[in-house]
Amino acid sequence: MGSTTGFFTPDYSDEIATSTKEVKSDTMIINLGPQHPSTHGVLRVRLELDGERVVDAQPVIGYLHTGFEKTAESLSYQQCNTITDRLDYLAPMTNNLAYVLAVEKLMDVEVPKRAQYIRVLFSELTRIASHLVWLGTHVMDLGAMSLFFYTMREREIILDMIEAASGVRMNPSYFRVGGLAYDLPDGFMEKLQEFLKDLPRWMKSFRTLFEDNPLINERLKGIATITQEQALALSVTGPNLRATGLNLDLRKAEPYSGYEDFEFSVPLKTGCDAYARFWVRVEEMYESAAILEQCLTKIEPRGVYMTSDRKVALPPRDQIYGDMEALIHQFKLVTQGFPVPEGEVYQSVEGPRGEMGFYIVSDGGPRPYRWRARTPSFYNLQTMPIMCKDGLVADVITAIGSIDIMLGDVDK
Amino acid sequence: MDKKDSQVVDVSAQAMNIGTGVTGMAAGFAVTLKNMVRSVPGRNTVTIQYPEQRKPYSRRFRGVHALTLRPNGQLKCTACFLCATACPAECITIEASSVTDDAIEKVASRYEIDLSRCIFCGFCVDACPEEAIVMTREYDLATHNRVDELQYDISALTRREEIQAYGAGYRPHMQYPLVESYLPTEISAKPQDDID
Repeated sequence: MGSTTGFFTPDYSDEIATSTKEVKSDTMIINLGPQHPSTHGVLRVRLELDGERVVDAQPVIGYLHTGFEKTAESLSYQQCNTITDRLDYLAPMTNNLAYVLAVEKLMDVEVPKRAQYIRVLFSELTRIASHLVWLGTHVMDLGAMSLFFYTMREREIILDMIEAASGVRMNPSYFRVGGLAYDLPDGFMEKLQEFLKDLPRWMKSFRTLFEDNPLINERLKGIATITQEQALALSVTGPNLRATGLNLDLRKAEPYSGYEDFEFSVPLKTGCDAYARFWVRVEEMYESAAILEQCLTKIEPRGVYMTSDRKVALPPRDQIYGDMEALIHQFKLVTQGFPVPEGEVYQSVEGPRGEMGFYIVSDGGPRPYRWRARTPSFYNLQTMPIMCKDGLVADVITAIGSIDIMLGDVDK
Repeated sequence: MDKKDSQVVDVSAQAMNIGTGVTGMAAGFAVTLKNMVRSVPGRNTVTIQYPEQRKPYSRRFRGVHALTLRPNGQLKCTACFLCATACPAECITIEASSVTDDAIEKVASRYEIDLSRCIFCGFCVDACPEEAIVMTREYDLATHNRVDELQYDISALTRREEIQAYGAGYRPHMQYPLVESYLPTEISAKPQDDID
């Protein structure tokens, strides 16, 4: 095969079990994925098996590589917003938040308090939505079918709220540099209140399905363990790290966007296994709901939602139609974008999957010189060999589900 | 950090009990059964019969674009290229030509949106200083041919029947009244659809 291997015919010979010398004769290499429903996307895991035992599990990534980081270098800072939606497409709002906070930090833009609180509101809404998808799919991987339908039903209400505010369900681009794209729609707070009133009821019925269920417990307890030292060595963040007993939540450790004004606690477990990660996420949903409850009183239904800095924000529409200076600003901002001072910045937020960060280098122009996304799933996926080693094949599925990866986030 | 944050719960101490396990499973089955009974057709169903039954979307919905018209039926667009510049996906193609009307001087003789590239971010609508381009609530775009049928030109962006059928979507100054006469056809949203 070596002679025919060219640019267009990659050499897969090392991955074929029969042709590799170093593989022991009593182990077998099989592929899990990339087109497998339980890999949550196009993830391929190269499993080396000794009977039913896993000797090695290596994730092979890149099937969803889209070149976002390079694309961003040719877009203006405002246009980059649309790319951040598409990284972790189950939690677009926290991606937006990390990005706009990074640019605002570099530009030193003052964001109105109300806009900051609305950002908190939508971050927590997407956290619940993302955890609902995780809960449904993870439990479905373990063999329970019906919970998936119930979680999707409740997530639909969140997507409706996101659609009412931002105009689309999945890729909202709702947070802009300097504030928000649009104000909250009429009746949004009532809708949120209704949602929060319902939340304990459906959460209770969800918990009835998996709490005290010996089938779920057997599949999760003591499975796919990763110790705190290993997790820290691999830069694991988010609920996966908090399931090892380390209290690191960026909302508390480095408060951003007004999180210091909200009262909430950080769920912690010490089990280090899939069961601990499961319950960290379930309890996080209650904490997010507690933050949303506080949003109800903190956020006025109408008010200022964008900075008044004309160097960043587009002028109000009524001024554009009558005011020459506003029209000039509109043309200048759209055609040239806003210049960002020279320098570099890193800003991270606590996403549903862990630390979502952006590292931006500016050369003083309207486009980023370097745009780097620190996506949590990429680091969390590195734990696969440790988690799966010496486990059973069926527990590989548990391991993939329990770290809650998102392949758009891994491959970017 | 608060003291209550560092509280540590050891879940492995909560050992599995087979006795409670059976009752736990029975409770789970009860939930499934209750949901099954509740969702007999007509009661508490969330599934919609899609092509016949449509989900209502808000007036902010970012669907397929529409070009607005002047009262005399001319395009409102003056080919200033702001929308094409703002577009992150570079899907808007404009060609300008001059007109004898001194008040306008320039119109778009060709205006094409490649909807197979469009990401529906709404930046073009934000950029337009004339409200010459707005969005509708049309969302079902499946075609048999991705090369030709998704290239929307001026006639497709102004005279489609769907603009009427789906109603107006996102436009930038939602707090101000929409000038209905500017729109290509009479766009009227059903009152129960209005979330915004």
